Amino acid sequence: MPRVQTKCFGELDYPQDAVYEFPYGLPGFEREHFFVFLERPGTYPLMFMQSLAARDLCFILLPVLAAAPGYQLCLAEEDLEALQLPTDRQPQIGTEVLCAVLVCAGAGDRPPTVNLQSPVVLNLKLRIGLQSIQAQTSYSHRHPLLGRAHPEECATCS
Amino acid sequence: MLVMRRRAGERLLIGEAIEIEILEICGSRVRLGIVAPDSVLIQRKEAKLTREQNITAAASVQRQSISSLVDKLGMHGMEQPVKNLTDAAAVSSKST
Repeated sequence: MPRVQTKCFGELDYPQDAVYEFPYGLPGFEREHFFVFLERPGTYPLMFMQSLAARDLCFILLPVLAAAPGYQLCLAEEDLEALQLPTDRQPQIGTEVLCAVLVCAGAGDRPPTVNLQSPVVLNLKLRIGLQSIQAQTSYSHRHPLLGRAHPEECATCS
Repeated sequence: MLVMRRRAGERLLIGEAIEIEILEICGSRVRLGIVAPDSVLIQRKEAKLTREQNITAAASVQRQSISSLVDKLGMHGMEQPVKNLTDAAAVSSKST
């Protein structure tokens, strides 16, 4: 089994099918194309997205529905194409795609937030991923993780 | 904020070097043509926010911040609602 150097958990074994290709990288990290998705004991429901090439690059993720129940995903046609999904409808979260949000862990007085505006979407079958920047939503890029959901933050999908 | 009304085909100037043309208006969508010097970075605002937020999020990932986050999530009772939301096959829990 291949091994990866991780930012926070030392060296870990990983199965090949936990690796996702991000053809465009992520905004700010455009040159990172391969990430391994990890769960660690005692950190449920968090997931970790560790770069295969850069040991010091790791993101914390939460399934979007854990962070925002009722979240409406609104992928643009070009995102659907990049994920090689049908372009005439939105994919089903959980079966066709995994949709997760990046967590900013916060420190000291700063509470943790999640980026609901730009979820990470994975095509589970083809193991392709991207970060979809949702232009037409009122979801925040700094949504407080631990507060009550803001009633004004409801999605519009057009 | 300066508000200016323009029609399709009309242009506006920002300073001497930046020109914006309203190419097409279609319902709630507008197509813009922008002429600007190479030194001027033009980006969608949400892309800039995402980039900045990604950099902050990546820097926030530390062993200590993870355990503090887990504690906070546990206190807010997040264990239950997320069951079965992720495909177990998609993530690895294997460790050395």
